[in-house]
Amino acid sequence: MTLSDPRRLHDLLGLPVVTVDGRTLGHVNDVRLAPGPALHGLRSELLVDGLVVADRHAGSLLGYDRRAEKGPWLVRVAVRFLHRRGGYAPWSAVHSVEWGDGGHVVLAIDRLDDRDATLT
Amino acid sequence: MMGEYVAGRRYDAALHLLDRQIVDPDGRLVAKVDELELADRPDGRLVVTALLTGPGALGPRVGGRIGHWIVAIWRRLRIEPDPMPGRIDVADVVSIDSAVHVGRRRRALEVDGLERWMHYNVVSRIPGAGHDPE
Repeated sequence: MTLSDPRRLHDLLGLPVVTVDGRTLGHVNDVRLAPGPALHGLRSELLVDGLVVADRHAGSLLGYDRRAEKGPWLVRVAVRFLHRRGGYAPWSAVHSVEWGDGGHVVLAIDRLDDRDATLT
Repeated sequence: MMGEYVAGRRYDAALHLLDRQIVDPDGRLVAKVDELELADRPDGRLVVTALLTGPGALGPRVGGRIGHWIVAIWRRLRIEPDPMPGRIDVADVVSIDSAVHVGRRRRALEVDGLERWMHYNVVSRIPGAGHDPE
């Protein structure tokens, strides 16, 4: 299978996420990966499943924003409050990506999924 | 063989992969995951193609003046005229837990750039370095 020129994860992390009509939804906080169908024997390839979007440049905050059961509760509550406008955008909802400095991710949807940001 | 990634498990790239230790089949520490290499497939899906290691991958990630200096010093300490970061193909990854486990031994992965620089510039210049130990 022919692939594009290589890119780097950090070309994508931090990019603004906008709707097709230009409304900013947040920034790419993390990139969710999921194993695809097995390729080489038992091994699978790792596909990008979607984007974890946060409404501020707060980093991953040690995963407290993505594990509902993770404590201590005070930190969990505080982090989830800070990330209350964040959410998840499946890769199928990505309309286009402009990579690098000044780039952005355009979504074909106008609302993030606030449940799928939490890892299961 | 440890097998494939955990079935049905999803991983957040920065949270679960970046800065994790890479371990070879003998339990030897190989490197840290400093960056991930991605590529677009013709069907529009984005796929992880490799783990990148070493200052050549970390510097651009850090960015700014410090990142620039990390890369500049790393280039100065490499033998090759146009060095590239250590690269481990994602097909070599056999499982991911608190570490990233690979199926090839550390020496075969050839991501030990500083060790090679030390051998070329320091160890090989010590008198007697070319002889086998008695």
